[in-house]
Amino acid sequence: MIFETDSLKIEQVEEVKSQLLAALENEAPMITLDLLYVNKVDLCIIQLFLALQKSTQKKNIQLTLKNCSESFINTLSLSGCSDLLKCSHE
Amino acid sequence: MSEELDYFHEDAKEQLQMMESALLDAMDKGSNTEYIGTIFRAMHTIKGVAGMFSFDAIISFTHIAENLMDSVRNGKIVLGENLLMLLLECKDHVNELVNCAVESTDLPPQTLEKDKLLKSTINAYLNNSQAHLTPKESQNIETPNTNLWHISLALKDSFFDSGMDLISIIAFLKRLGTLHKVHPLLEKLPTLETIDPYKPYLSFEIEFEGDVTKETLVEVFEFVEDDIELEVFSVKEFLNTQEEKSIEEVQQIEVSVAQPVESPKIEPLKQELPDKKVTPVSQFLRVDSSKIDILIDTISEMVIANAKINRYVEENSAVELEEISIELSTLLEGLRNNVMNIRMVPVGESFEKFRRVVNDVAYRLGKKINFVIKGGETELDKTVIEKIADPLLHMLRNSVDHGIELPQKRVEQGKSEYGNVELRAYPESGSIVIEIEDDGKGLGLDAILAKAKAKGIITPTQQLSDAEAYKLIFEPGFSTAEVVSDISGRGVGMDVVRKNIEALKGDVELQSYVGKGSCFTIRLPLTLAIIDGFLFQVGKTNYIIPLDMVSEVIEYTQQYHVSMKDSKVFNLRGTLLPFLDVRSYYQEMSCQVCERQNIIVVKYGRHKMGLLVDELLGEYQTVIKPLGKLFVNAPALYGASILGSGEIALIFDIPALFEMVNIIRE
Repeated sequence: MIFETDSLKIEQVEEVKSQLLAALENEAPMITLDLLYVNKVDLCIIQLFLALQKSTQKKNIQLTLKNCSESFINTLSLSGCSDLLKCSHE
Repeated sequence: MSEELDYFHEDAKEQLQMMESALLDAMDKGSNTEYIGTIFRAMHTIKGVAGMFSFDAIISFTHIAENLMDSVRNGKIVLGENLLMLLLECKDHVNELVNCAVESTDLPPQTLEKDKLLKSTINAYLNNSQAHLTPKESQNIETPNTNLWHISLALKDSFFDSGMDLISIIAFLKRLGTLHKVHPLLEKLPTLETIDPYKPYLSFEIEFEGDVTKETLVEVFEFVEDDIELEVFSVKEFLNTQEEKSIEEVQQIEVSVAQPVESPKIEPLKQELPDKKVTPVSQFLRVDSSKIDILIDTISEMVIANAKINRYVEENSAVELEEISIELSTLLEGLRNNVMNIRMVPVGESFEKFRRVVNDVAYRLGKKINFVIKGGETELDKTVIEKIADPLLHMLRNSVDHGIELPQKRVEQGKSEYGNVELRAYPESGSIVIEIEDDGKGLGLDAILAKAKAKGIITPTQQLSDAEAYKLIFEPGFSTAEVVSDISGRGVGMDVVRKNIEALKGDVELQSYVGKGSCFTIRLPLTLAIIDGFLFQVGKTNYIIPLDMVSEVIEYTQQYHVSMKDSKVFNLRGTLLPFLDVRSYYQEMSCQVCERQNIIVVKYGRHKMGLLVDELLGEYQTVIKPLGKLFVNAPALYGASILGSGEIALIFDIPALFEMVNIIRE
């Protein structure tokens, strides 16, 4: 799943939740969030990603975040979530 | 500019204005906790909001200025005159930093230089204050770089409604020291299927090290204080308490084994905070003024369209439509007045800014000034207020620079060493009057006339009335100052002042008495957009004058007629008043159908005059439109209005009209 936007914030949280739920319902063994274009996220979106992670763990689905930008990683680090939501650079 | 940035800019300007007012009040009346609190809050609030935008230059400067004010607040530094002047400079500097940040421009070299200079001066104050502390007081100052803090943070359900992002706040916290660890607690977090995305479920435990006080850390979260549960404590203090408790426990156990042991209790943080100002629910709505301008333009067009309906009703005797038309006119008038009221703002806010100028000029010149503002609640169109600011500023500078004498000279003359400068505003029949009065040395008529002759503004033999002589100071190149200073007195200002005021359809006059002082009187129209006008006809042309300026209307009969060679005057119940024969002056065609001639008596300030006209058409809601280039040389006219018939009515410029009549008489 690729997010083609520079900013993911509370204004988009409803829409992002729907997209993530759709991905979850696919029951694929792996969900990949491609964050190539995403530079800005807020706590509301990070919380949503963490909730997705909780769901994937329950369903034994592998969750991967890839192409994370410096600013995204920095935001994760500030929120203390960089160890919880590991970013892959592939 | 984004909406948030726009908000930051407006808010910073407001905070700085409040800071300046508090500083000037402290200068005038002596410092008190209220003023000190206001100055501190201004720096603190700007720092806080700048943190959300990562405006590092602002954060770094306001942080140090805030520390300085904190020391003042704690009584470690006295807020004396020099410090007040320094803080005024700090206010200006922050304003500069804010402007650069908002416009995304690099700080110019002189601003960077100023930044360094101010910071080192503030540091000198801070170091000096600590050098003078008693050993006991010194112990209370927290040792730098050894403070390890623990912050517990739980987000309430309302957190996301606050509009603040916790990550920005943590980023700001990081700038104050070292963020050792941010540990999110996920216990309450549901799965994606059940999560309410607008509700926060996370809590955070943060370990932070920095040279800060507990209060500073609490203030980092001030903007979300109602939306979080916060606990902050020093790890060192906590461990000490634990240690002391342990010793106490041992002792207590020794005394009485049965007595229960209290666990270390961390006081809820909010109880330790000083009284917080309760923010009232705002009754104001911040609206871009251009939106109001658009609204007024639309209403102006509606007024014109309504005039067309009225015209149709008159021509077609449509009774039913007439009732609707009357109702519509009433509603439209109400709407117009309400919308125009939105644009009306009290002049006080704008006047307050002049206090700083008066203060600075007086300080530089070594003069003592008691500056008083009266009638700040008087309302005036926002556009007019903005445009009148520069002329007022110049006149105030002139009053302080050239009007008020040095304290010693004033005392020698039997005056108080404090010179009085009063800026006042009040409404007067459709106009607003602004006066600047000082009790300085005044202007001598002889000096004015001599200077005007020397500069070739008047001929050596020219005779002028007192009022005309005073008007000479508004002539280009005129300056009465014996020494030209860099504050005013370059002789390039007063003519521009008059030009600007006349551009607003106002006028300015001066009264002065040697040794007693001077008073500038400015008259301005209430608004420049829509007015209640009085419509009349001369020949085939329609004219309008502002209704508020109509004193009375009379039929011009023999009883008012006065025979006087080369002068047009009429006798109004024993008073001779000048009048303008509009038909002959504007070369209108004679009216074939008019049964009578009328005189409209117009008043302006202390003066009255008449206009000899043909047909009176009565009250008319007048939308003022600019005149085209064709009318550039048409005297005493400043605008036009479109009538319901599609015809044009010309609007008289009343100040210019009075001036013109005086010239014609002479």
